[in-house]
Amino acid sequence: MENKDHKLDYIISQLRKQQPELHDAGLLTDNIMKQVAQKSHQSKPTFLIWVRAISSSAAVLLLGLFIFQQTDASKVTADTTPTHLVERNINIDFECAQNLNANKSNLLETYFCHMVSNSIKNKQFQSYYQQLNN
Amino acid sequence: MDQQTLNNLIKRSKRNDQKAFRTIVENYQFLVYSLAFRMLGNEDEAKDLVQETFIRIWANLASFRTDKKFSTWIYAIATNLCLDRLKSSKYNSKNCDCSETLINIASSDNAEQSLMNSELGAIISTLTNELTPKQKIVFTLRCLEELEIEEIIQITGMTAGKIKSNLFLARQTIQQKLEKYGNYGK
Repeated sequence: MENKDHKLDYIISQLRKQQPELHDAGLLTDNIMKQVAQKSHQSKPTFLIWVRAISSSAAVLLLGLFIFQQTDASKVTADTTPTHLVERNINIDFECAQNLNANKSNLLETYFCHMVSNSIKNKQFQSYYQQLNN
Repeated sequence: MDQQTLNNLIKRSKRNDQKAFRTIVENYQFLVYSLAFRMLGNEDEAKDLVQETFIRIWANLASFRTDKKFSTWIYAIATNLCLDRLKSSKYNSKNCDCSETLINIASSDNAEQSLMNSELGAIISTLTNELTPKQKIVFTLRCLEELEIEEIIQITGMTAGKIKSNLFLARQTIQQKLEKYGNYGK
């Protein structure tokens, strides 16, 4: 058994010593590089991938903003019923004042709150005016 | 090639520098060719596999981490491609009448004799054609390419135990094959 193993090891070692010859190594390299060049040409430039990603994100953002604006506008329109508006108007003004007291540093938010309430007031006066005229 | 030069070439190749990649190909194509030839036993198929391996390397170079051994990574890609070919129905290893060459190679008087590719391919194919693809891979990597078990684990993803059992079975099958040739090496 040991003799057989020894012979097998010997044959394996002889096979190991026998390196296969690589004919035309330069030609093989050239062929590989040709295919690599083709592959590189086919692949999309990195900047195009970036442009695609950025424009997709911008599109999603704009769509989101549009939906938000539409929802907000519909809320304002729904609030223009005369009797309800008086109370709503007072509430908003009170909310704005509360906002100002609670968080004085956030002036932009308070300003925005007043803007919204003014827009409702205008609509309310408009509707009263129309009712009086009628 | 020293490690720093190699890392520099890999870095440049990752930035689409084809000249740098050419140098890598020139330095490593024989390593892949030798493995492919010993696995497939055919010069043309081995060359074809070398091309496929380097195209894959080029395509996946970005995923290579320089803290790993580059040759191990190349071996892993080439081994996977060899395994695919060995498993495919197209691949059929042939038996040949190479008993005389085998007796010559086993004889110590002819130890320095160099074989032609066709003879060497025929001998390897004949000896290993009854091995399973996994046994063939383990036998080639361990016995012919002389890689350490640790490296074979990284290349094949097999456990050490699995590698050793595959190697044992491969040696046993080859030994039985050699016995068919009678008193080889006497």
